[in-house]
Amino acid sequence: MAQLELNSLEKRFGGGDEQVEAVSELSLSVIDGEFLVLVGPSGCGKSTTLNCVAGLESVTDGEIRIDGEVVNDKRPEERNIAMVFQSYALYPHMTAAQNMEFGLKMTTGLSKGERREKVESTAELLDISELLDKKPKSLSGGQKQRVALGRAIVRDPAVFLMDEPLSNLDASLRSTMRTEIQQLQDDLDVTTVYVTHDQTEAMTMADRIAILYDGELQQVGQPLECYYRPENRFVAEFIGEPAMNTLPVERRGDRLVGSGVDFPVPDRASGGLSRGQFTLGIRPEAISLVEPNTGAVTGAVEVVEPLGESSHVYVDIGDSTVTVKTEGPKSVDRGQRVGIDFPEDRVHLFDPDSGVAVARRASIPNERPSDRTALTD
Amino acid sequence: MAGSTDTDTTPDSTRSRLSGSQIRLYFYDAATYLVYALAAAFFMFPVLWVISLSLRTEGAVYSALNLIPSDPTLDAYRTVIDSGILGWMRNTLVVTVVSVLGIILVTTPAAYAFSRFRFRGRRTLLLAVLGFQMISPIVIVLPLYDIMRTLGLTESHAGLALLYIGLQIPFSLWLLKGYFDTIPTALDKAARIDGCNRLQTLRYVLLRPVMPGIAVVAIFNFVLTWSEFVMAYTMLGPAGQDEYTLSMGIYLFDTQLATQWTNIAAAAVIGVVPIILFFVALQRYFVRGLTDGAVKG
Repeated sequence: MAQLELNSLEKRFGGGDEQVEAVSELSLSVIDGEFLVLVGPSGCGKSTTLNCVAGLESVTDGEIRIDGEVVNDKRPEERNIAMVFQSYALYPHMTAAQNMEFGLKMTTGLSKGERREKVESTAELLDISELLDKKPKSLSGGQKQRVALGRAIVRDPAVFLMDEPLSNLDASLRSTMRTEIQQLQDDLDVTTVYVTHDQTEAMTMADRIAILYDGELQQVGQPLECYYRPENRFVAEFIGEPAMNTLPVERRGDRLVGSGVDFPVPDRASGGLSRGQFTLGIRPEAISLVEPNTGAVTGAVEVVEPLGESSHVYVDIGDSTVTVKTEGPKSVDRGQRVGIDFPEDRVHLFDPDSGVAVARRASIPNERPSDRTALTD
Repeated sequence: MAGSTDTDTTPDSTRSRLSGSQIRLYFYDAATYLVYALAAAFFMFPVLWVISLSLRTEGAVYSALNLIPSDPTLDAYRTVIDSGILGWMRNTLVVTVVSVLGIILVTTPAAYAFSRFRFRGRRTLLLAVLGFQMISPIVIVLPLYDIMRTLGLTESHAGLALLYIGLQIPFSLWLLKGYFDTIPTALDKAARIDGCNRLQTLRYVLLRPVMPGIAVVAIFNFVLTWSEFVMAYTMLGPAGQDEYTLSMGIYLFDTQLATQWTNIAAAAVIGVVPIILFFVALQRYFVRGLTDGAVKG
């Protein structure tokens, strides 16, 4: 177990005109035993950050500390970390047991018997004892990922680094493995940094999530905090499925007008909000369909996506389309005119240029500790 | 039960359509095998003809054009063995094995470096290596001879092997680099996390997955070196016959008075056996996809 700190971490590739800044001024602290998820779209710098922590990439500037010690110049095996890769990266010519044992063989002075004992006890923990003599080509995707996890666990590292470990698995297996990794991390209580582009994975697994975009940290916080109180428009749109609706509006007196919307300025924002342009954000699950001309905006239904328990209704309101998540099966028809009600306390306002939130939810609703997946607004 | 019900209720027309498509499949299969057989015959005929020649008397070489000799004899084999073919084969084996090992020893780490490291001048170096490959050895044989003579490496098997290594590195390097490129870099990363330095990564992790590529390089260079004539003749020509390689020895049967076709054929048949054995020994690496299961495909 260990504490991991990133202080003003920077990573640039190339030189001269072709220089690319992959990670910019990233400062993060992962406390002992915490499960932190780095999440963001492709190319946001999350895997580069992980590689820097692992020692697979050199750091351009800033420092990485593990348990207070700067590890910038240390080789990967000297950092007391273990890593799980998206593509499993199992050595094809070795059996599962040899794959798990290899790191111990290269980095410790343990005898063959001691190494075997550690491998067997880890295999038991992961329920892969019967796979130990098999080579990767005869294992299924899920089994390979378990062996890859075993290879990391057997090292007894201070920090686990996981680079999209579930991305290559099919949907049902991914869900199962998600739970297992969470359970495992809880049991082992090892500081973990987990990289994913899948916001559902981030929301359901993390103690805290750090959202990256274009190499820069956008927000770090508990999943529900990021969901309910996004610090900027990127976080608001990235977290949550379907994505938050955003509409350009203008403050006119005590009203927000634009994009077919005519809506009172939320009380919590009216004091500090200057006149001018804003981006109004509201989550699809926070709004509801009402009779035409009775809500904040009226439009015609473009598409309905029935999902069983809920439906996604796309409503054309003129300049843009608003997504509404309704409970139950399909309740409206294509072309039907509907009104949309915007509950005042669910509205977010962002600066249209910087994207910074100027008005957001005041608080997070009470979370049931056992239900980290609850996302209803 | 469901299956039998399905079968029972299949309409006659469907059954006849199925059998029709099966007939077409059989026809395609037969046509494919016929093409294979023709291609095999095309390539096998010269080989069979050489074997046939080696079993004749010199007088029967031109007299009969049938493939199977009417009066087969092993005289040609006795003659070439008495002429010292086994010694030439031993010389060739030494030169070939040293060359192949040398080429693999040089190109494996070089190909790994070109595949994995991004360093200044990498692309230029790769193109320069490729450019060298485009020069025919015949063009540079005289300057090469001059250099080798200055170094005192002519009339020496070691010198000839060194020459082969130098000449074959470019192509082998490109070939092997291609194999390294197909191995996911995630394996390198995993090895580094597991405590390997670059050389250990190559030795313990990448060498086995790249073995099919090394086998291809080995076989290609074995065949090429085993049968090479121009360089061998230039470098070893002034040496005694005992130092000759197989291709030079075979050339001795083409005398000023006559070309001894049966002896040349017998020497060729004997000479090709090690290549076949070498190929058989290594061919399993062609078919074994060692990276199977390493990463998600």
